[in-house]
Parts: sequence; C-alpha cells; structure tokens
Amino acid sequence: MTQIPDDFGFQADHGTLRQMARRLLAERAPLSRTRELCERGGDDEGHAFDSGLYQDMVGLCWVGLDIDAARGGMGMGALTLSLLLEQMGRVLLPSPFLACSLAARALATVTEPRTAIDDDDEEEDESGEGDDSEPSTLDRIIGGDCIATVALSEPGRGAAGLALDYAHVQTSAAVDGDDTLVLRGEKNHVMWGTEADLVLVPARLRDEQRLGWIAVPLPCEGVEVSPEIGIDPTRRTARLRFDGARLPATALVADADDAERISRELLARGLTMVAAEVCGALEGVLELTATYAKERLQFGKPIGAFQAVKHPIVDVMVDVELARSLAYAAAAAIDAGVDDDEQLQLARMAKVKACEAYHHAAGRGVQLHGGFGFTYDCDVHFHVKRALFARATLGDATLHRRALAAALFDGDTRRAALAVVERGGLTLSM
Amino acid sequence: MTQDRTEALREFRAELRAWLADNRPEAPSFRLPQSFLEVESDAQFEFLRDWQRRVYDAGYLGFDVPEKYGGQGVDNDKKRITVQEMVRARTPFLVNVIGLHWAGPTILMYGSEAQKQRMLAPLLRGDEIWCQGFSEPEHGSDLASLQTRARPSADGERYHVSGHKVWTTLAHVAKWMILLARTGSEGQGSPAAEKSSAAKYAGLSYFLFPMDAEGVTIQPLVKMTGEGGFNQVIFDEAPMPKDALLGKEGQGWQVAMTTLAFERGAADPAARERGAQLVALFERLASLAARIERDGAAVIDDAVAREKLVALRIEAEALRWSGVRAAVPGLCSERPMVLPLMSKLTISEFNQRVTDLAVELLGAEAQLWLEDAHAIDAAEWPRAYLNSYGFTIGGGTSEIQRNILGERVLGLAKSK
Repeated sequence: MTQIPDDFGFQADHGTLRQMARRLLAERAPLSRTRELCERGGDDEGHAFDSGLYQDMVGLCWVGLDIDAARGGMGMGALTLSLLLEQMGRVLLPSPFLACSLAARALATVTEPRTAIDDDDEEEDESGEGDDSEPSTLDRIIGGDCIATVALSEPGRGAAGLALDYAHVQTSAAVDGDDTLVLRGEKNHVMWGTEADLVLVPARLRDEQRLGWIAVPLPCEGVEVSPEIGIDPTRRTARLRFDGARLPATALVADADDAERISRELLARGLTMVAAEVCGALEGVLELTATYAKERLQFGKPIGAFQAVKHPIVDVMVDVELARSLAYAAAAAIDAGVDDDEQLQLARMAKVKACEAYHHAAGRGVQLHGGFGFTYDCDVHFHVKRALFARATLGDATLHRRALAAALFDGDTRRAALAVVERGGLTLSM
Repeated sequence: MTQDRTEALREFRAELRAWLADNRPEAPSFRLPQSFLEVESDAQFEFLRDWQRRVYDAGYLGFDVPEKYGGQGVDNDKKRITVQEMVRARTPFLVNVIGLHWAGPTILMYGSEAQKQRMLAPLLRGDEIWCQGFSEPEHGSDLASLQTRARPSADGERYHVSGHKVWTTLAHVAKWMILLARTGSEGQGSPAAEKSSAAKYAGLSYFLFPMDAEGVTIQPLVKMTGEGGFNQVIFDEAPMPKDALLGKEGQGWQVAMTTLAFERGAADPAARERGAQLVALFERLASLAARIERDGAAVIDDAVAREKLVALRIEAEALRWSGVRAAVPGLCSERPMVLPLMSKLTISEFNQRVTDLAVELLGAEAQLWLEDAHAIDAAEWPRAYLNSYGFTIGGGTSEIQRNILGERVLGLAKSK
C-alpha cells in the first residue's frame, strides 16, 4: 500500500525554491504593497492584482509548476507548489495564482480529451468552433496569457456553497444541435471572476444525467459577470449568471467520469493548496502579533512578558505548526499517490485545521494589539478578513467535518472495524 | 549507509520482531498499567520489572550505553529500531522510566567513571529502580527556588540531606533518586540573596541519592483517582557519601536542564509508530461512541457528537504528522526544534481532550466508577480522564511548557 514517505518527498531544491519565493515576495510584495494595491483598487495596468509580479511569476514557471512537463509544466509536485503558496499567503499576496493553478490542473487532469490533442492549434482562435482548444488553453494559462479560474460554488447551496458533483450542481448545459451547448444557471464566489479570461464551469449535461466541465471564455455573450463586494480586499470574487450562453461543443473539456475526476482532483488539490496558503498567512499574523508583544510596553515591560498575552500567542504558534504538518502531509499524499479517499480526507483535515487556526489566530491578533488592533492602520484586519474568506473557500469546516464523519464513522465496513478496536490501554506513552 | 550495514539492520529488525512476537507477555490477570503514573501494586510492578529484565537479557536494551558500562554499545540505528518495534508491538512499557530517560543519560554525560561503572548496568536491567526528587511542596513550577538542603559534613566525607520532595513516582520501589538540592551558602540566612536569580541557580547541586539511607521517610500519596502509585519523601539529616554528587557543586541546575533539553529536543525515532498510537487512541474513542447509545441511537450518529469527534480526529492526524515532520529539517526551517519542544504540551492536552470527550459522550453513564458492575468499559474512561491531569501537570505543567515555548522559541520577554 502506498503511503506518505518519511521525508514527505521533500528535496533540497524545494527548499531553494521556497527561499527564492520568500526573498522575491519580501521585496516585491510586502504587506505594505498589498495595502497599497487594496487602497488604490489595483495596479497601474488596471488589474486588481500586481500584474507585473504575476508575469514575473509566470516567467519563473510557477504557474504550471505541478503540471507534467509533457503538457508544458514543470512536472514538480504538490508539495513544491504548497511551499510556494505558503510564501504567498505569508504576505497575503493578492494574486489569481491559486485560481490559475487549479484551472491548469483541472485541464491537465483530463487524460483523454474529447478530441485528439493537436499541437498545431496553439495559435488558433480560442473561440474557433471545432478546434481542439483544450491543450492551447493550458499552454496559455501556463504562459501567462490567460487568467483562468474555476467556478466551485452555487448560490443554491446556501451556506454549504461548494457545488462540484452531479448531485449538487444545478447549472445546466443543454445540447442544441450537434455542436452547440446552451448554458443556464448561476455560480457565485468565483475567485478572480472579474479578472478572468476563462472560467471552468461544472454543469449538469441536460438529458444525460451526468456532470460536465465547460470552458467558458470571458467576456461571453449570455454570461453576466457581476463583481461581488467581498470582505477581503486582497481577493476579488464574482457572481456569474449564465442566461442561455451558447458555446461550441468543444467547450466541453470533460464529461462523465472525466468530469467527476476533475471535481475530485480539484477538491483534493484545492483544499491542500488553500491549506498551504493559509499556513503562510498564519505565520504572517503570528509574526505580527509576536513582534508587537515584544515591542509594546505596558506596566513597564513588554506585554509579551505577561502570561495572559504570552500563552495565547504560544497557542497560535502551536496551531501553526500542527496545521503546517497536516498541509505538508496532504500535499505529500498527493505526490506519493496514496489512495484517493485518503488524499481527500487529509486535504479536508488540512484545510479545516488551517482555516480554523487562522480564524482564531487573527482574532487573537486583533485582541492582543489592543486599541491599535481595532484600527484600519493596523495590518491585522487584513488577516481577519482573509481568514473569513479562506474559511468560506472550497467548503467551510462544517461541510468538511460532515464529509469526514461520513467517511470515518459510517458504512458497514467502518462500523465493523470500530467494533473490533482494541479495548483498554487508554494512556499514551509520552 | 553501506550495503552490509543496511542488511545487518534489516536482520536485526527481523530478529527483534520475531523475539517480540514470541516474548511479548500475555495480559496479566490484574490491570496492566499503561504508564508509570499507574503502577500501584507489587504484582503490577514485578510484572513490568520482569519484562524490562527480559528485554535487557535478550540484548535489546541499552543502545545508548557503551558495553563497558553494561549497555549494548552506542548504536543509534538499533536504538531507533528497538523503539519502533516495541511501540509497534504494543509491549508493556519499561518500568524504570526515570532511570532510562533521565538518570541514565545524565550519568553518561556528567558522571565519573566510577559512577558509570556502578550505576548503569543495574539501571538498564531494572534491578535498581530510580525516582526523581525535584519538586517540593512549596516549589513546583518555580523549581529553582527549591529548599531541600545537602550540607557537607565537617569531615567532608558525606552530605546530610534535609527537606521534602513530593509527587515522587516509584519512590516506594526505588533504590536511587536523582536529587536536586541546595548546597550553596548564597541563600542561607539571607532571603534577599536567595531571591536573586543567579544565586538561586548557582546554589543547586545534583546528587545520586541512595533511598535506603537513614533518615528517609517515604509516604504514599493518593492520586485523585483514589489509587496509589506515587509518594512524598521526607529527608531528616539523611546521609549520603560525598561521591553521590554528580558533576560539580553548584552545577545542579545546568545538569538537570541539559538532560531536559536532551530529552525534549530530540525528534522521536518512533514518530510514525507513536503517531499511529495517537490515532489508535482516537479509534478507541470512536469505538466507544459506536457502542454506546442515547435514546436507542448510537452516539456516533449524533450530529453534535460527530462534530466533536471529527475535530479530535483532525487533531490526532496533525500530531501524527508533526512527529514525522520533526525529522525532516527542510520542512522545519521556520522554527527548528519547535516540534519536539511542543510535543509534551500537545500530546498531553490531546490525551486530555480525548478522555474528556469520552466522559462527555458517556453522559449519564460517566459518573459510574471502577467497582460498579454497570460501568461502561469498567470505568476506564473516567479513570483515564482523571489520570490525564498527571500528564498535563507532571514533568512541567502545560503553563510552564507555554512559558518555555514563548520565551525560547518566540523570544518573548521572560514572565518572571
């Protein structure tokens, strides 16, 4: 049985890449730069993120890092990508990097595209009917020519949000004639939807009772993109309304088993990546708070000398480390190719642990900064907002805990296993 | 590692595994203690001591001790393998805990040749049990202020110990005590000087104290469970020879802390096996939740119970992988050493949360105690919950652990 290796698959060059990312982001994207971008509403090019930095990241081959070399990526693993995302999270980088990475991954997941891959179509017009648009789209994402995203959520699911499988997706795609798909429905909380050139949309294939993933170029007639006004100024999201948008049949990048596979992989990878990014953000808020506790003097000493301040900060640090272990384990599980169910379980755990810890840490961050913490001038509020955003991304803790409970506690096999668990011996050796 | 060495270690592991399969003792008729906090009866103690002797006699104990002192010769690989295999085989614990983890390594590091020759072999075999005399009734977390005194005799041939040590596990069966006592004159007669922190530390010395000395009174303490197993020790001018001193006079704090750092700073060689144990502990809780009912439905099907169970299951997984990650420096670059330093805090608190949730899920049944015929799982869960405080308090309370982590790892200002 495949298992996570003792070293998590970590190699020295992963550490080098992490160091490089840390230096680059410290120089180009410190939190002060994030604040500036948020306050100005974007960069000089009219993007809500630093598009120059994004292109430099593309130049460093970070987009597509985990995509097979044969498909134009770097062929590195989920752990490496996690280490990068952790550094981006640390500075709360406003960037569509995660959305693009997930979209690229989804496209790369389709091992047998519906039509034959033809390398010549790179220069074809994306909307050209009958063309094999799938591989060129991936190339364009990796090459930085296409900001892509994935539509993971539907308003109909309410607080549960996440709509990735046939049972939950309500958006529909009807076939009109031989070569046209007609898309109806609504997606919300689409990461960087307002900035995207392409969105991958899961939809029910009308009359066929199965799931399909459809690549929708933006802007597109019949697709209304409305910006959501979000709490986290470092993130942009959109509501997408499909009102009979007509797309070529080739826009269907995956259906049936392939589509379900994309959904599963997006979920496991997405949760793992969010967990990694959040671990970085956790480190960021811990650093802010610990630094303040060393510098701020009250009653004649640094407030960190008081246990009422020290202990909550330590608890945050402990949580950071626990969350990080889970995030790396989830990434290592993907790289090692452990059983799909185990991958997903670890990914859910990693995401829940990281986001709950982050939410708590950000709250402690505000509280321990005192009156200054309640002001807009203090950077901690960016973390509070990012924490709310991250918790809501890709399914909240309740959704994942319920799914974990079902996987861990339900089913005849599982119950039978629990029945024979060795009794007695309740104390751990420490 | 050479091919031969790899092959030799593989053979060693296979032999050990076979030996454990043949020799792992059958469950005794009495309750087998799961930790040194639970050793109460002579029968329990002798059963555990016998197990340690058999392990030693078979050549599987003492891979951190040179052969000339009765060990197997220093071999970190074999030590790692034996820890892994014994955890995996779920063998009883080795009862001379203080000896193996504290006294032994400290003697190896600071002991004279004579001390190493005398002490280590019987320690490894369990023939001589060790206990620890650090905490005092008035000096628990503020250990360095302890007041037990070791006064040199006029002829310089011995010390006389007076004072009071408390919460002393295994003292009733111990031949030796690692004793932290005040030798310095700095503090004497001058409370102000004693309070100055440099003097406080400088006045301490570390001794290997013979428990059969005159003037030693061992009184059993009853744990909150109503069970015995630990003690207080009162010294009334109890004599010990001058060579009971380990290291130099006044070096006691340094000696004690070196061992502590050694013990706490190392990644666990059996992290993977222990991680599996953490998850196994949770599985026993889940098994309980699947067996007990609430109004005809299994507790494990209750939505509120499930939320709480899953939260703990996630915590178990996080601890499991933290143990493994501790041995991968490239993935610990943010704060090297923090994972081993925080493991006592996190694992003891996890243990407490698991047992606490168990008694919560037991609901109306939780209040039945050990002798009640209707008690679920013979009231093991409420007992484990009470015992969980032994781990969050003993060996440095969770609060002290947080101080250490805050000050040494995060660099926050000292709290005292």
